[in-house]
Amino acid sequence: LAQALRAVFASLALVAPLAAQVTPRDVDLTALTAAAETRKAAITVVEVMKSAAGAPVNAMLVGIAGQVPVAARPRLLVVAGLEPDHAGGILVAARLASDIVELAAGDEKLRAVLERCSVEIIPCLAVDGVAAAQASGLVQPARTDTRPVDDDRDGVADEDGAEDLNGDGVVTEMRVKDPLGEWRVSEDDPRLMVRADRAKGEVGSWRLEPEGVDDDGDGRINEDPKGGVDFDRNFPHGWKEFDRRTGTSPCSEVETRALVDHVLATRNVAAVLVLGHRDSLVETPPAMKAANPAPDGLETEDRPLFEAVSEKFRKRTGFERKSEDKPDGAFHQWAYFQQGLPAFAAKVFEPPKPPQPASLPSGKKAESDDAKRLVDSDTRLGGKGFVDWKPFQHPVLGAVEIGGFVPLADVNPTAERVPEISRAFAQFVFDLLEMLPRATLQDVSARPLGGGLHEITAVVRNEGRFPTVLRIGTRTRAVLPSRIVVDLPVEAFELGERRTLLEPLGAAGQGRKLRWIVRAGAGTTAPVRLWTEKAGEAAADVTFTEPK
Amino acid sequence: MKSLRALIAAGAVVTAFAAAQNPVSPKCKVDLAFNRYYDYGEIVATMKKIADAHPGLVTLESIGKSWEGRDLWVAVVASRQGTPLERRPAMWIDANVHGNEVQGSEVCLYTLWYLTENYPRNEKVRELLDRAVLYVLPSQNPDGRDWWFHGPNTPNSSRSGKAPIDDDRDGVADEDPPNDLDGDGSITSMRKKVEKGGTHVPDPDDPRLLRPARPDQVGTYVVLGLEGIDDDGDGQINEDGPGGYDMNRNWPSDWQPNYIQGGAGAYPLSHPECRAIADFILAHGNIAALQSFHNAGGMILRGPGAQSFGDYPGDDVEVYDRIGRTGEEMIPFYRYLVIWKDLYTVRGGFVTWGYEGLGIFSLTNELWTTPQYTGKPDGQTDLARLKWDDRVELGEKFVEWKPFRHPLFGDVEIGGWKKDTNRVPPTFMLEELCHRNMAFTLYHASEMPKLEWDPPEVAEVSPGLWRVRVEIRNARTIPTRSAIAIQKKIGTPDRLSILPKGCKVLSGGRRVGPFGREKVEHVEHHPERLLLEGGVRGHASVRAEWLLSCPAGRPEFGLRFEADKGGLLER
Repeated sequence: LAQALRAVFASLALVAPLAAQVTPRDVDLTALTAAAETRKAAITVVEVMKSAAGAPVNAMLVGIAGQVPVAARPRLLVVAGLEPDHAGGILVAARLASDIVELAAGDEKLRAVLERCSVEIIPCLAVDGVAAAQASGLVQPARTDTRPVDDDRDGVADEDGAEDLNGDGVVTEMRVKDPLGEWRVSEDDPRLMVRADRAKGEVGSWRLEPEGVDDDGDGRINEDPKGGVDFDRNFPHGWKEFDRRTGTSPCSEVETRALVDHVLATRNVAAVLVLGHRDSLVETPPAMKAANPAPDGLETEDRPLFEAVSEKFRKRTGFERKSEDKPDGAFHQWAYFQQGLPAFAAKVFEPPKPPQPASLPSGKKAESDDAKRLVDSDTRLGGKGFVDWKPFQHPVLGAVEIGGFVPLADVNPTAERVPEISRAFAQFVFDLLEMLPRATLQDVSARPLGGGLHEITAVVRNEGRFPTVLRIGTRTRAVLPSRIVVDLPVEAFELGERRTLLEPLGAAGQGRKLRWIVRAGAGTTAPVRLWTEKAGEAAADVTFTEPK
Repeated sequence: MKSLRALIAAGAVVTAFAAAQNPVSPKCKVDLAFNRYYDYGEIVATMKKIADAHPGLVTLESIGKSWEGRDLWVAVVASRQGTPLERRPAMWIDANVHGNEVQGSEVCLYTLWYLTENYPRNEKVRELLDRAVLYVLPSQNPDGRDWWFHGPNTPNSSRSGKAPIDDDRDGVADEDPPNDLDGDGSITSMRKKVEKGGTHVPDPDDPRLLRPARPDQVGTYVVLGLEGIDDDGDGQINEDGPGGYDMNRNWPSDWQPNYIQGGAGAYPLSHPECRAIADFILAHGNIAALQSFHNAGGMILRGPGAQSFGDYPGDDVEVYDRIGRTGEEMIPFYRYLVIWKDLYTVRGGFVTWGYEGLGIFSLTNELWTTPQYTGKPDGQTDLARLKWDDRVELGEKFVEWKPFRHPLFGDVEIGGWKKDTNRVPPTFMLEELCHRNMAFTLYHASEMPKLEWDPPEVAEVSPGLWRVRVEIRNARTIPTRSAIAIQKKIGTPDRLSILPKGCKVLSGGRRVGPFGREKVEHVEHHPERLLLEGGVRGHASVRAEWLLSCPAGRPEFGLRFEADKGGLLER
């Protein structure tokens, strides 16, 4: 039956109206890195991995030629499309590279930033999931990959997914008359369903079910859809075991493991930004209360930096909506809590604040999330965020009504908004790059002491708004110590060592003065080289002279 | 005359037959010595020899490769007749996750050898291999093992695999290992006799040993650590040796990063060996028991690995206790202990993942403890060990101190214990270690669920309406679903199905309640296929009942009970 229904409605879906917002159908998987084609000098395409199904997952590496090769510079990694249904993030990320290059072309200061930093953008990690969502032809939540998982633990995987019964291309809800139903029709708007508050004597008469049929006859509808594991819950920090959407282990999925391996191998990744369902930028995550054994919040010393980033982000995007989401097992959490990196998660869209209706029939303001969502659909989306309830003869349940909110209409932007969002994110990317630590080598000089001995001094300074290593990076020891090398034979050193490992440098001009006494011939020179993992490199030569 | 010759010939035949069938020492298909240790190549060759000699009992499967490219060979041990192997309860047996903890691999080889040789002779072996299957991986860490055998090491080194790790965080990996300065194949110790600044004095009972100088004594020696030089010129000696991680901290349950749990690795299952093993175990939901051999200390260990886990569910602890305490009786000087409480905290351990993540009754035997050597619970001091070495092993295990000219320290002495001491038994005691630990492991395996049932009760309760009752019993200690599997919803519930021919299943459910007053828990959907989250406990049963509408008379039907870890019943 389900198969027959699917066949019928699959053909209907092709002519069904599209949702107002962007969906996986708007993603062209073959053109995710097309921006590179017109800006070859500043954008190169790199294959980061092959997906589980063998499709390439590509990144765009953005940077303008400068002293250090683009691939070796401090790098901001931007990842989108961890969830296949987050088409907004994928489309914004795909545009972002061109906007970054354009901004740099029109501003000398930004150009300098892009000459010393780079941005790596992976527009879509879940390429298999996006392809599957496109193949389904339906607008529905799709956060997982395509690995078959037995969600309902009946010994069969993926046997009870949604059906688009009314053929509108959108999986909404069914309301079913039920004497034991917990839902009633709202007095404010007959389209809205509210849970009957029994404590107030309200009586329910409807049951809500997802749109579909009970394919496996177990009494539940759509409880074992196709897929899979949610990538952004499959990373090692805060990973939740025993949840069928989180995988059998952290990094159990081909793509999540490859992404982690990529970051571990790309030691110059200095910051991470994820575009997806989660947010850590509108509201700065809480400070650590305990580390038992792993920290449960931001390090107290790091949090003000995160607040400063948040302020920039809110200014660029205008976003205000806080996230209820728990970021267990999220990629940006791993990047901060285990790799010690500044790492952030951002949504690319939030609906504008709806105009308040003067009064609702009940005399109340539209305060509930659903009421606001409905106003947003009626105003911004011209009604396309909600499917009006219409009677339907369900093959098993009989007379039902199908309707309700269009999934993700409040998460993904409409297509025409994508360019301006991308522009705002490009500006934010520069905000972030300017804050990253930047180690410099200054006042490198040598003074003859007589007897063939020379005193070398040098100042190492951090010009960035962030320290060279966040407090969390010091805790986790994931960032290698910076080192300064005076390139003379080991035997030449009377004081100090050929290679000195440095403690992290604080932010905003903090640093250290170093001193060596070496044996060297007058007239010779020695290179002094500063190496940092995330804050760039610097070098200078010292020349040894005769005493005056 | 003729008949005499015939008699003699017949006698010869009988004698020859008797020789072949010597009941005290039957002839083996594969001769194998257990008074020696086997390196990786020899282990694989031996496994192949056993598999070739017993094709009906053993097949080999490479489940992946180590970091250096060595195959991880698993022996699949079971009789091939009867229930398909993947539908039988299974036990996973492995060893040597720490490269230096070698003798577990010999226990695995001994187990393969013993089971195959004794299958035709021993009823318990036959019963086990006919109803269950053993997956035996003699070495989780063949790179570490081979480096321990063939590289210069101590009893404690080569615990890691061989992927290079930058232990001293200077941007270069594995560049300052210990150095076998005297070229004897072992990394021993360095000490230096000094006029001033000494911290130690020779032990008055045996000058080969040093002990700290008392406050009223002048030290005459300084202790300089393991044999080695400062290869990378950073002022430290031997601080960045081969590898530098712990594959027994790389498993998913309660995995924590390196800074919390030393040696954890980049992320769970980041090592190719762990990944391959986890993939195999995850693909074999029939694994109901697990043993992972380590050394040393004479322990039978279960989790939790960390206090923060809390306690294991009581029902499972009872099962564990039954098995562990039996082990204490079977292996002298071994103690049944809890990892975090009695040993130390281990996060991301293998056997804790086995139980806490997968619901498998998992144990680690820490093989060998010095009291086995001395026969007494004491005698673990270096002094005592030296005496035993001098007398029983004819001085084989201690390298006498010899002078050496060290590039940094000048004149030093090098000497001390060889690598194959302390943590591994002397070879003359290896076979006993192998047999006792195998016997315990086979006991553990024998307690995996064994399902039985009688013919169902079929009764006509009114015309055309039939009632079918069935009871499934578990004749062993381990339940089909551990309490933690039930609690965390691990795996698929057991399934009890009725497959009627020409009848309709009207209702069905489990029969529960006190004896004689059972009630049926009718299920609303799919009564013909009952999902039993609680499984079948050890030495207990589940009962179920269906009502069938069979207008044609006495019903004909099939019955099937499937338990991931308990096997399959069909009639």
